[in-house]
Amino acid sequence: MKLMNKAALITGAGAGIGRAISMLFAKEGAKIGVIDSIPEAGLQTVQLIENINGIAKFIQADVSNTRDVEKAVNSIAAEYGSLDILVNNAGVCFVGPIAELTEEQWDVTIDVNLKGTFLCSKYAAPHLKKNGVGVIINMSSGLGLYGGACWSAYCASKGGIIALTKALAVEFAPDNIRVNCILPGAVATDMLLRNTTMQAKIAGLSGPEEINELMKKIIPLRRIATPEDMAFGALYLASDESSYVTGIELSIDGGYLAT
Amino acid sequence: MRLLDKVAIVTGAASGIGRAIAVGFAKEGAHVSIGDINLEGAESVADEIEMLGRRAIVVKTNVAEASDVKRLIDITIAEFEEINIIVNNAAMVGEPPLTCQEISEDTWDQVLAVNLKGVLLCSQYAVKEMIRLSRGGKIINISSISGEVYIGIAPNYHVSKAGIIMLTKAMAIEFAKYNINVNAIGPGLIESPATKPLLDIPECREFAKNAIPLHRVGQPEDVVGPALFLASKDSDFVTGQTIFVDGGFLYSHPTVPTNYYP
Repeated sequence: MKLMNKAALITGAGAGIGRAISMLFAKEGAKIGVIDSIPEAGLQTVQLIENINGIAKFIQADVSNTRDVEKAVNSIAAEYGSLDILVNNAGVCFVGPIAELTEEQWDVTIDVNLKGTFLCSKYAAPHLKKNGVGVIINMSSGLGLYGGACWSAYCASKGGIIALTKALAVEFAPDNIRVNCILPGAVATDMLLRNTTMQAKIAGLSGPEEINELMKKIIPLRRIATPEDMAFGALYLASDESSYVTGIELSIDGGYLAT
Repeated sequence: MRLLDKVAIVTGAASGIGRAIAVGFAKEGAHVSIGDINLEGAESVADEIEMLGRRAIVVKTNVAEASDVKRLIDITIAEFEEINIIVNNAAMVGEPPLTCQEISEDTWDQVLAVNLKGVLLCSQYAVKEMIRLSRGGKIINISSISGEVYIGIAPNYHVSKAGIIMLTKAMAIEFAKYNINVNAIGPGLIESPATKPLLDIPECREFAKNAIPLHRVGQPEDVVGPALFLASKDSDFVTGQTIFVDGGFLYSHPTVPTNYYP
């Protein structure tokens, strides 16, 4: 097992990619701090982990709220006696033309996706330092590198995460905390379904299935990713196999960014 | 005029982007030395430049041949006494088949020799003169969006254009102490003899237009502005960069259907 006895705090762990990472890390021996803003979602992930004899504890937190984050990080570290891995996965997305994007939607996107990554890293770092080895994994996106029409706030937040990843990688390097980010492409999650439904509406297409078919045509590996595809990348970055890797963007996108 | 009485070498200036840059530089006051294998085309560009009241010479040059390149530099110095700017534009696509599985060793070598080694050779010989005269200089390499992403042109072509981006950085660092700026331009899809076969297919033209956010195929003149910037004193603190001139293509992977840009 690659993460035996490691304590991992995973935000947005109640669904999609966050849940897949939680499950895989638990299978690899890690004790999971399941963080989500929605209790039913987070508790369901805990149940799924316990079903495979894993160890997990749920803490409700809004990652954009300082007090929530401080409390969540400290109680998970106290529960497991240490904190070794932080996965900043919680994210939101509003799809729409900039003329229709409200200031509140912009603020929420930047607060959750970008400030949430900052806050969790800030409060987790003192714990991550303690054992002389720590890992932070941030979820950016291919959309942090290239523009997508109608994705402005999301693009801005994800581009910021790439830069923040590099800044933290350099700052935390003396403490042997490695900081890397993952750039998922299209991943089959509830969030993707919500986004493509909106996209289809904007583009005047029949529905999300039509967008999916179009995406498959432009992704070299010809399929939409599964959340597990992302989890295996996160496992690599969390494990000792990547002990000399810091500050990178790992694209898991079926070859899309190569085109 | 931004390049008054500057001496510029432009390789591959007989047509397309090279031609537009050569004429564009002349309009801003530069004298131009054209190195090309296509003498007929080069002569007509030289005539066009002389009509503008600037001087132009043509030297038959295969940029992959060191002796040809040396001759281009020697004749340019003999005629104009200095070299201020060199635009490494000469390039070729190569013969099909163009897949990694089928490409012949000869085609691989030929394209790398012209597109990549040509840039090195021309820069090597031009830099000697720039250093000798101690007046700095500007080297502009023509790369391509295909040096950044794979769009299925041909592996050797993509590799050569990617190589130019790195060679630009290497030369920028090495030549900095001589006050020689080295930058690259990465054109996207530009209307030229090289892209004519593709753009003559209506479906291809339509597809390309839809994939480019500015919704048109570029013209050779679109590349002139960035080239002028990199050739002029406006860019004196810029070195090692690649400027993409592609209508927004490179950083705009279609996340909504390609026919939809608001």
